[in-house]
Amino acid sequence: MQNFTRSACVIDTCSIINLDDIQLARQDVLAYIRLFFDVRVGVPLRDEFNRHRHQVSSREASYWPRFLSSRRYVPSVLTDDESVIGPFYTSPPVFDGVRNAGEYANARVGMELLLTRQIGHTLFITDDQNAQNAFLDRMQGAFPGIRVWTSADVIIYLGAILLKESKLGFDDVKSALRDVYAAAGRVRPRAEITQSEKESIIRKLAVSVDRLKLVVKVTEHWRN
Amino acid sequence: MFEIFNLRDDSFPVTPAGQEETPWFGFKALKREFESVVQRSAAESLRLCILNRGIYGAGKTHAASYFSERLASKRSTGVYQNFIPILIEAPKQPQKAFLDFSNRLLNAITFRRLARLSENLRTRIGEDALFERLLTATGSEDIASSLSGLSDSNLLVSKTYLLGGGTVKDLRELRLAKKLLNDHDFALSIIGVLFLLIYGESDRHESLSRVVLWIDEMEDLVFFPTRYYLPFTQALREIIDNTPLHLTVMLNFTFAEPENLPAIENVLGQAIMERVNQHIIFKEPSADDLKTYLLDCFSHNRLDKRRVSPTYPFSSDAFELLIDAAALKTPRFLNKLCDQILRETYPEWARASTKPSEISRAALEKKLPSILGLLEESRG
Repeated sequence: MQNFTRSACVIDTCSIINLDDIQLARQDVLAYIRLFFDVRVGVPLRDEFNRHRHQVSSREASYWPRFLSSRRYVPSVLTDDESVIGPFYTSPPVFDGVRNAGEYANARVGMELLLTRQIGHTLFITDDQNAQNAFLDRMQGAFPGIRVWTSADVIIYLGAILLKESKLGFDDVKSALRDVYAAAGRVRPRAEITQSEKESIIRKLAVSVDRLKLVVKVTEHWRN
Repeated sequence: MFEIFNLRDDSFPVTPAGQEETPWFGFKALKREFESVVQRSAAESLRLCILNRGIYGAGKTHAASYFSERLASKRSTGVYQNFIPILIEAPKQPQKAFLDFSNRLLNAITFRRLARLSENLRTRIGEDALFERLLTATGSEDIASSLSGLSDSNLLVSKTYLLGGGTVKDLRELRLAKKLLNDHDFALSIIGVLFLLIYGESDRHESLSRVVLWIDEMEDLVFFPTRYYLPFTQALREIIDNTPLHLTVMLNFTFAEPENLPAIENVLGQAIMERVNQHIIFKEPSADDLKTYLLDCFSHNRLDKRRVSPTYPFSSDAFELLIDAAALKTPRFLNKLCDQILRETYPEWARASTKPSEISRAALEKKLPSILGLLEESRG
C-alpha cells in the first residue's frame, strides 16, 4: 500500500450498515474501506450511525463511531443545505436539518473538498435510491468530480484488486455481492418490501454479477 | 352486490379464493404444460423438479392451488395409488431457514397424519423392518428410531423433537441421543418424513404415493445472505438427491423477466438450478389469453346462465375495450379491474328505475382512466 493513492470518499450510513459483516478474503469490507479510501464524512454521520447501531453486528462496525468522528469534516464555505443542495432538485423539499441530514451533509462535504482543491475527486457511496433519484444524479452530472457508488460498486472495486492478487475467486466476490443485496431484508421489515422492490434487487444483483464477470475476464489475464 | 350483474360476489379474487373447488380459466397451453407434468408424475417414478417462473399476478400460486386439489383427489394412476400435494411458502427467516422450511412442511402434512402412516407401516412390515428401511433412507439412527416409533401416544414429544426442541427427558423417552441441531439434521428428518408419505398410505398391502411438493415465493431467497443461503440450498439439495423416486418438486419464482434465467440462477444458486429438469414459463398474456380467461370467468360465476350474452354485464364493444386496457397485464390485474368497474357501476344500476341492459363502451370509457390510475398507484 506504500505507493497507493487513496480515493477520497464520503459514505452514507445505509451503506455502512449494508456492508456490515461482509467479508472479502477473510477481511471485513468496512475494514478495507478504512484502508483503501480517504474517508470524509459530514457532521451528522456519527450520530446517525449510532442511532442505527442495532442494525450492525460485526466487531469492525464497533470501531466505526470513533472512526467517523475522526474523519468528520465541517464545511466552512458550503454551510447551507437549501442553497447548496436545493438547485439539484426539480422541486426542492423543506430543508429542516433532520430529513436526509446525512446525505446533504456528505454532499456538501464532497463538493467543498472538490471546489477548494483539497481533493481531486470524490466518491459518494450510498445505497439510498431515493436520494440518488432526488438530487445525487443531477449533482453527479453537474460536478463530474463527484461520482456516486453503491455498496455493490465497492465490492466489485475491492474484488477486482483481490482477484488480481489471487486472494479470492469469482464465487467469493459473487457471495459478497449477494450479501449486500440481501441486506435490504435485514435492514427493513420484509413486509414493507414490495414485489417491485424485490424484483429490482434481483435485477441489480444480475447486473452486478455481469460486471463482475467482466472483471474476472480481465484479472484472469494476470493469473494465467 | 354483483347479483345485479348476474355474477357471484367473489367472481374476481386477487389471490386464490376459498371457493369449494379452485377453477381454471383460459390459458389452455399453460394448463396443458402442468397437465403433462402431472401425467409424467403419474407414469414415471423418477423424481421431477420443475421451476415455474413468471410475472407477479400471472397465476403461479393459483396453479399450485388448482393442481394440488386435483392431485389430492386423484387415485390409482399408473404407478401410484395416491398423490400427496403439499403447498408451502419458501422460508422467510434466513437465520433459521431450514428450521422454518421444516416447520412449514411438517405443519402442512400434520403430525397426526405422520403418526398414522408410521402406524400403517408398523402393522404391515413391523417396527424393526420399518426402522431398518428408515435408517437406509436417512442414514440417521435417531431419526429412524423416532419416525418408526411415531404414534398417538408419543405424538407431542415426537413433534417437539422433529421441530428441533426436546428436553433430555423427552429424548430419553424417545430413546434418542441428541436434538436436531443443524440444517443437515433437519434435512435427514424430512427425507424420513417423505419416506413415510411415499410408502405408508396403507396398512394392508404395499402402497406407493407420489409426493408433489410445491414451494411458493422462491424469489425470497434473494434476502438470504450467503452464510444462511448456502446451508439452506444444500439441505434442500440433500432432500432432492436422497429422494430420487416418487417425488415432484415444483418451485414458484416470481420475476418480471421470467426469461432471464441467469438472474434467477443468481438467486436460487447452482445447487438448486442443476436439479431442475423442466421449466414452465408464465409468459405475458396476449389479448386472446385475457379474452378467453375473462369469458371463462364470467361463465363460471354466472348466477343465471339462461339467455345471457357471454360478455354480460359488458356490451361486446365494452368488453373489447376492457381487454385492450388490460393488455400486457396479468389475470390478477384484470380481476382487480373488473371488480373495481362493477363496484363503481353498482350504485348507478341500483339507483336506476329501470335496470340498464349492459355496461356500454361509452360508460366504460368514462370510468376507465380513473380506475386504471388507481390500480397503477396501488401497483395493481
